[in-house]
Amino acid sequence: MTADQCARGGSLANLIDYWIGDLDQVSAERIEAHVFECRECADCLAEIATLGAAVKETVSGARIHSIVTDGILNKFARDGLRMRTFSAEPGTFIPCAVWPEDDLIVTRLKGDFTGYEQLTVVLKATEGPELSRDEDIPLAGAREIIMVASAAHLRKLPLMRLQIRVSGTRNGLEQTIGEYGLEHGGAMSR
Amino acid sequence: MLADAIGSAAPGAAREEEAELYRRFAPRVRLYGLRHLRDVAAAQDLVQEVFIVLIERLRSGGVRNVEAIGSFILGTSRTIAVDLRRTHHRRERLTETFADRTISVTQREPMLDQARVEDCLNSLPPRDRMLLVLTFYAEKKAVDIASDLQMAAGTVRVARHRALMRLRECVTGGTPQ
Repeated sequence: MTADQCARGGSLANLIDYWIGDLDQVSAERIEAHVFECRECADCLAEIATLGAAVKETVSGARIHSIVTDGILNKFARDGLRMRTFSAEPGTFIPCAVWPEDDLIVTRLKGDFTGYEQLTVVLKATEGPELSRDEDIPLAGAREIIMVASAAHLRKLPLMRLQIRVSGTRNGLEQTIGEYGLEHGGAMSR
Repeated sequence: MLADAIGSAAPGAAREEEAELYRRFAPRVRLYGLRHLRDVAAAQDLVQEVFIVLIERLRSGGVRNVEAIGSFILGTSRTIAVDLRRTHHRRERLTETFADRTISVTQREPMLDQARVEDCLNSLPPRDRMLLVLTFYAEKKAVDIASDLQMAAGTVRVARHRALMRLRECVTGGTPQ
């Protein structure tokens, strides 16, 4: 299969939609019939299935850092992942730490993000370089950015003061929307 | 042709051809099972049952159009999957009522290098990462993701396709960004 099509005209996009269950029944049956005739597409579908399973395994294992939605947090909870949540208002410093039982650390950044485009989240040590920069982040609500990080990863960080800066573009101008401070207390024990 | 060779040989004599037929089609039946039964063990049951029927029918000359063997295998998969779904649901209910789940062992899917997948997934642009998490972990359809993220469903589909291709490229040889 080339990037998007097999030699018989089967489309990769359709295989992805089929695997996810995003096709109506007639279209799905058409794809199935094609897959049973086309080895190339069968191999490609197997690859999609394997990649999808690997993504699921990574997220289920709490080895992810990502912007998420409340729906994903609910799914984490249903799956038994243990989360510790910190909520930060712009202009404040809050203490945070990782405890032995934590799987994921959730940070809720409060603010008014209405009307901004190209939101960027930069994480840096207060007296140091940028640790990460996420550009054009997706937003599920106008009043909050929800970030999750692997607790296992955060346990490795030393005690430090962190700063998160959220910026965005409005009316063609890039502006800082909020700055949030985290006093990372490291890995705690009971 | 494989199906022809099996059908015209004495029962059990075309072992090589039967094995090759299995190698070609078992993965497709398994994928069909995973997609419709959503359970690894049930998908493996489906593969076994489909191939028992298929080989018996080929050996006895019961497949009318061997040219369209893929179509025959798909039809058989559909029929048997319906039965398996019923059995599976019944078994699940019984398990919930009586069984000790701590002793059950679930067969694992063949997986990629998980460390590599983790690096690649966490290196993707945040929008790609979130789309893949919503799709493959939260199992949300394009229309639901579109509603969550205030995007058009068509845009979600295109973006999801690109995100998966970026992940594939990274996992199969590119470098994490």
